[in-house]
Amino acid sequence: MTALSYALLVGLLMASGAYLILQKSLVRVVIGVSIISNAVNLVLFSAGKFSDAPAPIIDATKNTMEGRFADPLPQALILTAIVIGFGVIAFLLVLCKQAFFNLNTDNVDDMRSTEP
Amino acid sequence: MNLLPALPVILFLAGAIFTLLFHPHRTMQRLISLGTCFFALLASLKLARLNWQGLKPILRFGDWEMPFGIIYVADPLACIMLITTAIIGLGTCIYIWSSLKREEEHLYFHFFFLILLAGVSASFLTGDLFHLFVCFELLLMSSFVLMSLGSHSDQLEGSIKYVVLNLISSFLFVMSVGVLYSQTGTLNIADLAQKIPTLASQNSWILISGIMMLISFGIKAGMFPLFFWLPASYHTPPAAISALFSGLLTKVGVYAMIRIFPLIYFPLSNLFQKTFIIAGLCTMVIGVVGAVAQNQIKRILSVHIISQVGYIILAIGMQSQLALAAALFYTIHNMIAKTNLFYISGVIERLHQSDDLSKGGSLFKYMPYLSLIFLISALGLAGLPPLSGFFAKFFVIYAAAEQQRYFVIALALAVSVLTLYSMLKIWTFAFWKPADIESEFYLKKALDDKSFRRSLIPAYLVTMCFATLILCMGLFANHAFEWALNASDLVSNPSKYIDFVLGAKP
Repeated sequence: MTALSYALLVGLLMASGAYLILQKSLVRVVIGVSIISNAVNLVLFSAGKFSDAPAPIIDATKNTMEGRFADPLPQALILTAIVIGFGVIAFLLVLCKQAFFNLNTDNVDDMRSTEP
Repeated sequence: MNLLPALPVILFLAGAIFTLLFHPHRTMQRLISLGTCFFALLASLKLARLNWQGLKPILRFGDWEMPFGIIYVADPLACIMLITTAIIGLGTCIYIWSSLKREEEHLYFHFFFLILLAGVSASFLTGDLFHLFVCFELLLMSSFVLMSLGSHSDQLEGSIKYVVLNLISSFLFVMSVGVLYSQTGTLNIADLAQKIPTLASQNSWILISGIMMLISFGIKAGMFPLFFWLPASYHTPPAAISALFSGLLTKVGVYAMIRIFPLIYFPLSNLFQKTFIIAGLCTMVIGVVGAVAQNQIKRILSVHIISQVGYIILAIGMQSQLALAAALFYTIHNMIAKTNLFYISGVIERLHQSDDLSKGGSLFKYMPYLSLIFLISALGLAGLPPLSGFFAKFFVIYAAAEQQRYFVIALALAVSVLTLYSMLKIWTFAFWKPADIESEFYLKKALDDKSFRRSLIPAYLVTMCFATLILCMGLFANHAFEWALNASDLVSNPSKYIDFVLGAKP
């Protein structure tokens, strides 16, 4: 049940991100990109599988892990992805602001002079 | 822990920090960039020599046991790409002396330039998929800044498309990495190559991750239905930056394809080979047809990148060791020839104040040496013997003939004729045609200016060296191709790569 609702959430985020990216307004595109980046982070998180296994902490009296334990690596991956996504979105916002001031428009359809 | 395999990356990162320390001093920054690129070239050559001696330069960060932790693998393929990267870096460092405007250089050009090179080198070296994503982001981030350097309105227009599409490509890549990890529990490329064949052969999750990765690298490389950002953005930044991008960025996507697909996905299903071949053919044809329709030198060249990438993707799709070696040879040839053409387009742009073909002309009369250099690079790109492009195309066609793909051969030959046509178009309009009186007057006036002529010397030097490289790569094609075959040996035989990486002594 958790997995199903999780998948639905990711799908919903992905769909709304895609919808926003296809809009003409630049700000909506940026919001779309950031929503998709969050959806992707959730996908990465699900790579660790949903289980009720305990956290991978070794008992002080022993030297090795025993029994089942949750996979800690996806958390490291998602953390990296979040930070990178954050930086990239920050840059994208500044770029859009600069483009708005230089071109006096935020409509993507008016930005076609460089296309072949 | 021997740090040598990471040395090119460390050098570039350290150099970047030093340029920040010396920020307002232009000469100091230039010298730092130049020195960094030079030492990175030496380090890459040293790594290639270690391979030659039969050693395996592999770095395990933090001395983790092999399939865990991040590793850098300097196998022959990575070394060849590193050497070419350093050469292009070195060339660009010198070229900007005569091309980049002072205010553009002042906007932290050197810092982002070196970070870009660090990202590119690290993505060639890494043996870990998630680290590859991080390197991609590193190089993308600096390329975003370089592309919008100076914030002219057309640069901003181009950058927005470039940034958004490349971000989507990165998201797809990281998603595909997540799916792969959930199925196999590893991110090490060699370990993946080892584990995937043991999984259920029709594991649809792995297929899905492969398709996502194909789309992601396809966007980065400029593959057929996904290339639209490239002709809209590559011609907008200053020529030095366009040259750097054309040499390095799409080729990183191509490299990732060469590295990952034959090892991980090709054994899984022949769907991928077919997609590569069909997409490669379409890319080739559409790129060259698009280039023929353009009327500005930088636009022609940037649309042309797509067509060249098509040849490489086609060769990857043919999968045999010979075809992969041809793909590698083609990549190296294209990195050098394309970069050089962009350098020359920058010089033309400075001479005529524009790169529009209708406004230029008369360059053959006033600049005979530049014309010769252009001719060598352009004919090299189009594939006339004895230049490198001829052999690059010859090897691709030879690999196709070996698999009796005659349709592919016919199309490849037709595309190279059209390539020749678009190169000759630049030649006729920019070099041979007499310019109109007004632009000839400005050209003469510019050339009479001593300091202007002197400022072009570095550009001459670099383009001449690159033209010589193109010529040498053609004249000594047998040696170069031997190295390419040697490098593709590890890529086309997963068992050898697995043995190379996982069998290494700690």
